[in-house]
Amino acid sequence: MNSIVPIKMPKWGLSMEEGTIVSWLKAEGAEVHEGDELLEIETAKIVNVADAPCSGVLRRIVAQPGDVVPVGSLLGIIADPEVSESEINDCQVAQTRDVASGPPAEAASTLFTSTVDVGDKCLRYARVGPETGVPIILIHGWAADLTSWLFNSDALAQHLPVYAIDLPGHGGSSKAVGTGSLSEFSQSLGAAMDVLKLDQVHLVGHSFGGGIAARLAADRQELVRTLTLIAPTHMPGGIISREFLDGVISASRARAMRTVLEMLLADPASVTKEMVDDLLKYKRIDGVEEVLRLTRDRLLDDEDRIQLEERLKELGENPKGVLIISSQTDRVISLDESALPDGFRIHWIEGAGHLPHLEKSKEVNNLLIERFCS
Amino acid sequence: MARDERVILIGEDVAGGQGSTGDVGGVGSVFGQMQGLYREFGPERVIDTPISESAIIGAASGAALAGLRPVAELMFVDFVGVCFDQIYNQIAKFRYMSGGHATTPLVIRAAAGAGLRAAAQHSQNLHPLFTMVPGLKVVMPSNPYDAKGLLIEAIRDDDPVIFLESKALYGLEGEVPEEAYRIPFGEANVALEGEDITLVAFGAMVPRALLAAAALSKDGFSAEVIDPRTTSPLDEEAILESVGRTGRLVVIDESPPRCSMAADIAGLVSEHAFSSLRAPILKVTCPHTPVPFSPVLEDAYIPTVSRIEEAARAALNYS
Repeated sequence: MNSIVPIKMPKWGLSMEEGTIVSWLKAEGAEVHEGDELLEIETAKIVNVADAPCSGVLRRIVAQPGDVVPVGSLLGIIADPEVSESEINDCQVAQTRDVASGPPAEAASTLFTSTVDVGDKCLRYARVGPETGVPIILIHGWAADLTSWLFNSDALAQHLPVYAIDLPGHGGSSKAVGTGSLSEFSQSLGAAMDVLKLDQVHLVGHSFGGGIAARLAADRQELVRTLTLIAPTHMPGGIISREFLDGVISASRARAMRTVLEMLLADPASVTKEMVDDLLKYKRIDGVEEVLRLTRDRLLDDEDRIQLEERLKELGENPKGVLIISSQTDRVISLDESALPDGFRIHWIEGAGHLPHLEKSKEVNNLLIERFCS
Repeated sequence: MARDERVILIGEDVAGGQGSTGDVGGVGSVFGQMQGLYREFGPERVIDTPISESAIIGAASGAALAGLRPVAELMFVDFVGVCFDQIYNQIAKFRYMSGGHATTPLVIRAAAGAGLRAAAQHSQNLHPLFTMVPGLKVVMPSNPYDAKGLLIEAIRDDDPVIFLESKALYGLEGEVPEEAYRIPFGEANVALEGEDITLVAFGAMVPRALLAAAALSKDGFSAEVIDPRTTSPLDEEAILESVGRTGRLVVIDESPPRCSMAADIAGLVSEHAFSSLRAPILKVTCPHTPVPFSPVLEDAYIPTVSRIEEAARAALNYS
């Protein structure tokens, strides 16, 4: 095998345009195997690890720690030891010239962002992936938006079409949420899926998005082929941290908000300034404060959870059951496995907090792909 | 203006200049800040005036007292002299002297600052002049995102707000949400987090402070850059908290040195954070002269990135 493989800046998620090199985990000249962790890259949200796409020798490191590199641009080169230095040089030059002449083909994926009108609301969504296949619908959590899925959407889109939808009151969707009840949220979501002609989907919800997904699956069984919940709210026996909810609402300064966001992650040090600033900017938008207060009150109130509980048994009867992905070290939501109905099972992720899909994205992506594609 | 029909614009050429029918939208202010608004909202709400600042501000203040929410423009803040009585002696004092019965929900926008070779009478900042007047709020945005949020807050505020737009920054581009949002007054933005030294800067000086911080970081110094956004109210807590950690302060102020924000903040910090200081507080300001017309002299007049860096290094190396 006499191959040269250029390693390029990956595109994680729907809005990523560039990444910052944090550190290389293999040295120049080291042997690497396909799947080995190769380098750490920081994006707007968090640090993630890029894996070696093939086996060989890491012949050239081009991007250095601290460099900010656009998606698709050259980071390094893996090749066999027999390949000559001048061929490596040629590859490096060619890659740089390609980028200079226009965006690389990989970056111009089938991703697009748009909006859908449902009644008096307008919801933003993003879509990426193949034209056909059972769609995966990703629903984010409280005070978040569709960019939460930046480490998941592309990996999943290698297999199936992926839609990430902004809930009412969040992200790029309109900010009215009516009564803020679980069923009102799930109705809006269901209506959006009707407009987009999506049904029999793999529905995935995180946190509050999980509670909403469960409600939607219960009310509109025909829409949902499988239900997967990541650290969900509204589960029997589940407890949500009041401190976290109140903290997000009351923090208006960066330092205070950072302290609150540290509760989300197993490694508090990985809260980035951009995460903090994005949340502060979201909170300033007209109408958002009311949305957060209203939904916070309902999350702490038991009414929605009790209404849902009656319907959960039916969801457990689905042949594929309901998969919950969670972590024992989640400081925002704690789940009680014994309180869940039959058919619900929890896959516990080690070393994650409330955002396992961000903190342990590879593991979560593999779980989801196996669940949807086997 | 779409949300609240009481919001009106008034000033010189805010529509399109005298004689404009508005069919093509008019000029919309000398730097295009109000472009398109005449076409959308018409002559009842976008009002061109004669060249008389005392008339503009006098009319705006009367309209505010009567229940409108005017956004008045001074084409250049330097022209405030002819309407300063309306501002500091009338508008600023109506609420107080009426025992709270009168409110003046008025925004006065003005282009401020040097760098455009506009010479001494069209290049001043003058923010200290407004900051020292009780009853006025004074805003100095440094980027597009802040400018929108602060202007919306200013229009919704029931008190008089002086909104100073740095003309050197008019061309600055940045991500701005489509939706309306407010940034509260008296809340600083920490533009850059750091441990070794605090740089406080306003308006057009914020990008320069950030460049200086980038230069310092190459030598392993991490500078914290604080943009108070508003000089009145001033986010004293953010400044004191930062200096409490770093122990070193440089204030960058595009103003002559006497009675400047730099002098104000230096006094504040030395009084309240004296024991945290590890070096004297340094001020990087313009010299005590009018703004030169000569391009070379004007460029030297405004605090440069290297002067900011130099002051920071002096504070960092002080022992």
